[in-house]
Amino acid sequence: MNCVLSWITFFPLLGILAILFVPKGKDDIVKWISVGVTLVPLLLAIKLTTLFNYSVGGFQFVEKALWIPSLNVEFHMGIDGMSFLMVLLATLLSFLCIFASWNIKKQVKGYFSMFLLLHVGMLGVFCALDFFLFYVFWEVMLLPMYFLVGIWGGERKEYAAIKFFLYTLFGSVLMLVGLLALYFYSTGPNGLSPATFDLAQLSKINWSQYTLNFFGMTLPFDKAVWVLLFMGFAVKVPIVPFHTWLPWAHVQAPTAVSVILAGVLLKMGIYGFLRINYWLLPQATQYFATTLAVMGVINIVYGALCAMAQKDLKKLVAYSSVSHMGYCLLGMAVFTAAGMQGAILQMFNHGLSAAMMFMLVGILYDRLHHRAIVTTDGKLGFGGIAQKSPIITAAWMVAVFSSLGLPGLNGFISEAMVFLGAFPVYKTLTSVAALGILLTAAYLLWMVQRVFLGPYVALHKDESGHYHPAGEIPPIRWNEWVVLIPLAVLCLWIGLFPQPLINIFKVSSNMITETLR
Amino acid sequence: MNSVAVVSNLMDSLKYLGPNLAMAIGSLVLLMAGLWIRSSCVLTILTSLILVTAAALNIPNLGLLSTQYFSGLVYHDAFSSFFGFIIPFIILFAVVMGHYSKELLADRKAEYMSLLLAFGCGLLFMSSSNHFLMAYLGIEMVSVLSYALAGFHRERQSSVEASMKYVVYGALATGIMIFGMSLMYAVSGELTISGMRNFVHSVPADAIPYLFWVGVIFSFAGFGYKISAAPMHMWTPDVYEGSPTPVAALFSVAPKAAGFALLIRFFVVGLSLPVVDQDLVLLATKNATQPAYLAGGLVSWAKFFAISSVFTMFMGNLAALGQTSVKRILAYSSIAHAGYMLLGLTSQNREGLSAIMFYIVVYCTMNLGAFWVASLVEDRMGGDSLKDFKGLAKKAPLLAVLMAIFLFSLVGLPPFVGFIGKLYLFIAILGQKMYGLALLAGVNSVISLFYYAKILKAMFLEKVSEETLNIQGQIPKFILVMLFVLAVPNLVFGLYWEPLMSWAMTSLDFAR
Repeated sequence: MNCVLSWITFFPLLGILAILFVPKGKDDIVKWISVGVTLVPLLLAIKLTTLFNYSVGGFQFVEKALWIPSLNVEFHMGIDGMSFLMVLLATLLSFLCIFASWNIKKQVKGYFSMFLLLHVGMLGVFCALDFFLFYVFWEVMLLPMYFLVGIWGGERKEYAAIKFFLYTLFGSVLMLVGLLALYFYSTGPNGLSPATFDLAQLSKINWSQYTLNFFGMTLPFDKAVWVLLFMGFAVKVPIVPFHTWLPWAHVQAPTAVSVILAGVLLKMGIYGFLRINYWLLPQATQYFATTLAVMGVINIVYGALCAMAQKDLKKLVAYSSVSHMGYCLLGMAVFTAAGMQGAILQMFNHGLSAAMMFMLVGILYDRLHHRAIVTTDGKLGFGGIAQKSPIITAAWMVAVFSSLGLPGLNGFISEAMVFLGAFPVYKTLTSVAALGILLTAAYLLWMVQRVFLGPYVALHKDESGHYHPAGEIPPIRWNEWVVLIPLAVLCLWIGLFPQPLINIFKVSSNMITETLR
Repeated sequence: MNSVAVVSNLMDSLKYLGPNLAMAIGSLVLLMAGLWIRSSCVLTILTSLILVTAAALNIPNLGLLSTQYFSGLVYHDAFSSFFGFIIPFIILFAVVMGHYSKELLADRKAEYMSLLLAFGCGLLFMSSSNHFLMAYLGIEMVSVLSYALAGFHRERQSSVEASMKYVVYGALATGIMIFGMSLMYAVSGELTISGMRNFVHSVPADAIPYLFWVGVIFSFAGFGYKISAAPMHMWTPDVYEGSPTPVAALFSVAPKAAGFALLIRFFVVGLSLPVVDQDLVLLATKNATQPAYLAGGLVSWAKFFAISSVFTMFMGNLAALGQTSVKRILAYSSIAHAGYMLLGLTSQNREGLSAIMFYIVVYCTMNLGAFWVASLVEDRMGGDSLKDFKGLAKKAPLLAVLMAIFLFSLVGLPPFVGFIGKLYLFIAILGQKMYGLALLAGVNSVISLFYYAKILKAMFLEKVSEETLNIQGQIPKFILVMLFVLAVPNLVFGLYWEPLMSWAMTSLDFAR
């Protein structure tokens, strides 16, 4: 099992190569190649669960090679419990999303090559242990995302794509400045040791001893760099003032891309905080803890309120993601074992439930060609779907109740852990955040009521943009089953037996908390 | 300080002049050959052979010591060899581009290639001149030929207009430069870069009158005009738009490369910006009577270049936002890139200079590529506005993908080499702790994404309503091969750039 992480990360590149040689018109071959090359990383990741040593906190399956000697850039990969969890999530969702993209008709070869390239970027970010490598993977994701949203998206896809691109690039340019600042100061005050991008070595330095001169102001180094890095990750999470790209990108993206966006890309922001800000700059992190917690609560409440106001089903789900990422922020801002574990578990759980919801929005859109809970002329767009399609409704219920934190489903576990961890530290803030649960239940149940319950009045939108009463709703297709079943089973399984999953990241999560307390 | 050998003997000097001679003779040969040979193909092959010879003639000189030859008029050192290698290849691409271009009339190809070779000869002189007169001659040789090349399509009004604008700006800028140089001469009594070096090393800072530094800044006008640094950038978009596209492609890279060579030599060798290791040692052991070059006189050169760089970046990038012509977008982007490259001089260290040289090479590959695609589209669609690029991904998928690679490289996204180029410039300025400057440069990258993405959007995202005609089939295979030659380094150097960087580093060996 040497280089297993490289295989997981780069294997889909072979798929891109293979897809290039598929003759035109053989779309099915392209799809099955994609299934194959994403299945291999998934199986490898599952195989790793048996090889992974759960009792140690350090990095495992480490690969290290000098890449650019003159800058001391290393190709350095490795996973600890937290990144392992993310690798599992990303490989699983990548694999499922190939099936979610089964009815892509336009430029199939291009779509799947971009999708596989996205996989490389995602997995690379979760495995990289060299800051430079991390940054390269982080940026590599932008390119396929731009095209996936821009070419295969909805009506306003161009605007959504460029907005996503500009926001993220802005964040990552600031991150680049921060990472180079760390690089330069890593040589120490006398410049003795060689400058390095290696995260483990950077984490050993006491950054608060330095100051930084910015346009004549003298700033504490670690806090200034913390803010620069924060900007890069905050756009991805997204934290509230930087979130405006998200409703656009989520709504305009094709179903599978929304799934990946909500399921994996948002987690990268949180992962970046924990891996970079928390690990390298613990003192600055403590300094900004309250700010982070307040931002988390704002995310929870503001996201939920926005979701409540939406008339577009997909936008509602998008804002619910903003709200749910707030729990992660709150949980990780308190530095208690339970809070941190809750935050990490919440990443995984939201990955499942948001993925499922976006998939289900896509399924409804496929059948009725619109996403309006309430149409512009005030009619219910979906009303009473439960009457005609109990299976779709049942799947929705699993996703909805997992999302609003019903005991027995996965969302409950992580949210409860976050609140348990946060309450002793920030009593008022946590109480306000608890309001978010109420709001979440409100907007989700209100949505359920308007979409699924009541008499069957669902509408179908034709090509000219007019709504007509919908007839029968076609049953769920095989590829949709393939996506929904594993997600639903996992939601239920984690809700009932969360411990095996928590065991994966418990040690590394506690290590993060130890260093900060 | 001046330990470098000076060769005065004419015959001994000639052996250093191989590349320049090859280009000059080649230019005459082509002028004659054009009388008999009508086949553009044969002429292109002939020109290419001459250019490859010119580049190859640098090789026997590599082992020779750094010298000033022709009694100190011209330099031979690692730095000039670096440009001696890259300039013929830039010209080579312009030649091939011209061969296929429909903008250049078939019966004028020989003239075009002849002009290009002479142009290249001027560039080589620019990048290796020591004497102010030589620098001026080099710049003028390049400029005069540029006027001819810009107006090459003389039946087209815009081409003539471009040429005229270029003449007016060029005359003004070089005039100011000559005036500046004369001021410097008036103060120092020196006419060579190496003489200037001796002057600032021997005279204490407060003994040098203001006039000298005014002269230096005036001279910058001439160099700034060649690299299109703001505020000497105004000619750029109009000239690029009016000139035939292969010429515009050439203008966007070649004078920039040679201009930076001259600029670097002027400031680093002449004014002794403390960028070379020995100077740093001197800087560390400051003695009581500070020589002028350490104090920098009136001007803080770091600030001077920082302001010039930021101004140029913002001028280029903000002006590009509103453009609809792809050639104009690329013109403004080339201004912005001059701004990025000036960052390397701001840092005043070896890292900065090598970053500039690295950037010049990679910038050539991406910009030539982007212009070439623009030229192909213009030839086939009849225009270079964004709407002519609409649906290029359908009409010519390969071309669109190549263009995307060049554009992403221009934005500076990993894993393309444009990112590495910018990274080194950032490293250089952050090494000097100029965080504000780095942030401004970063913001500029983001702004630039917006207009590059407009081209991407037109090519990939927008639907084409009319019957999609396949233009990829019309494009000669050899062009695609050449475009691949430009695109491959964008990817390969983006992942492994060590050899290129170490070449740039070792080329930072100036004869003084």
